[in-house]
Amino acid sequence: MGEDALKLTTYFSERDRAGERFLADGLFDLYERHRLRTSVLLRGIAGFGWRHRLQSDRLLSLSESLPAVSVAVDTRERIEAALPEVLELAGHGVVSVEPATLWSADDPAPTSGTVLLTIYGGRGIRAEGEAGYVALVARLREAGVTVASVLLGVDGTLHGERRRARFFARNAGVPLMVLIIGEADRIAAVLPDVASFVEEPVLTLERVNAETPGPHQKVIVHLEEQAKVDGHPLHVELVRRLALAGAAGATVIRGVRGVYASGEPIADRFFSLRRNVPVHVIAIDTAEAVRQWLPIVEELTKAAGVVTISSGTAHAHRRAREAPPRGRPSP
Amino acid sequence: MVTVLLVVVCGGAGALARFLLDALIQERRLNEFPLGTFVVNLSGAFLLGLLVGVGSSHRTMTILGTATLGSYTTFSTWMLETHRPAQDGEPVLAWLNIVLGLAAGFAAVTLGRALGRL
Repeated sequence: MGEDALKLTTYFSERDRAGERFLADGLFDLYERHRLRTSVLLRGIAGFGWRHRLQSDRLLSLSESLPAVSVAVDTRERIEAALPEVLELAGHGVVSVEPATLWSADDPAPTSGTVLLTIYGGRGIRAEGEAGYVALVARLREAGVTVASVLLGVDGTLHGERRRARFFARNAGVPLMVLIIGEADRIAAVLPDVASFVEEPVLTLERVNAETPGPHQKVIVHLEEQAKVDGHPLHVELVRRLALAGAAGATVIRGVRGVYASGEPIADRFFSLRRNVPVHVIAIDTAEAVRQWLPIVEELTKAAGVVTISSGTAHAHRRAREAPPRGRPSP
Repeated sequence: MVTVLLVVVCGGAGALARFLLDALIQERRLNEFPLGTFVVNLSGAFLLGLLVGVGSSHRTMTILGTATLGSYTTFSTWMLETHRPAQDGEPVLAWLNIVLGLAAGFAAVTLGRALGRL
């Protein structure tokens, strides 16, 4: 089903530079030049990298250079053509390449197994007086998907066109990204409706936890921000334990709206101090290292959180590969 | 005019000292308690108490108290770092940060002033 594609993801820090300018600007100018089908820049809320220096928006002094994630999707040939330039630019960032399938309305819908549907598209559509993604989440809940999460990008490309957010603007054209996990038949039921909620959508479908070859693995924990473990926020605890276990790195991103196991849609409310939005904790490491720290993730997510594992190839900067972590952080 | 210039320079030095000390404390910590801001505010309160205790002149208080310690300590960061755990549903951590900050800060000023008067 669908077109053979690659997903190119770069994990870096907001303030990382490529020469004279910010790496993020460099990457998206590159994606624009290559007219990539879609790409989106997401801002992280916490994480750590190969130096094991923690970043978190919970503390002012740790939020000076929060993690950023850029995702780009196109056909295999077009991503492979852009890859050398991305690696050249990325510096200390980690670049991962994973197989994906671009899905179009002419392709048959998946019929079995658990699948991950990712939607990229403009956020300009209004439905029932609200942003289109609000109605999309309601539709996904109705369809009975396991996890749905809407993430807003701040830069990107859509069908080859650059779509960058500005400070004083509606930013209707800037891509958003929707992650949906569910049983194939439930996902298939939603596929025909996507275009009425998201502008010019680009869709990728992947099997969840399928055995695919690749020297590196990416583990994502999808959870609600209010999920707790021993009274602590689960996403904070996951990052802390992964850092202690010596994982290569982790990045936490936060969505704006979502739904878990057909519960009430979760989103921030103006008069509520507690925020509950979807959160994703992403960790990439060698397959061998993942085997070592995965039990920690499994133990922490016993009560809450959906874990997905995929394989691919990750490229880290030479210095990041050779230098051992400079000491472990204290608990 | 010299006082104004000293306020500018010492205010900058105070802010820089906070930036460096906070970063140094938080760098390798993974704990959730905002210790960096706590230490900064506590030491600032102690030093301000000390300044008052030794009977500093009006000019010394302006330059070292208002300018240097004023930009060294931070109320806004203390509140921001209380607000975040409250948002994440950790009322105990949020209250602990407020109560501990207030109690320890008051004690630090009292101690500083007492030592300054010796």
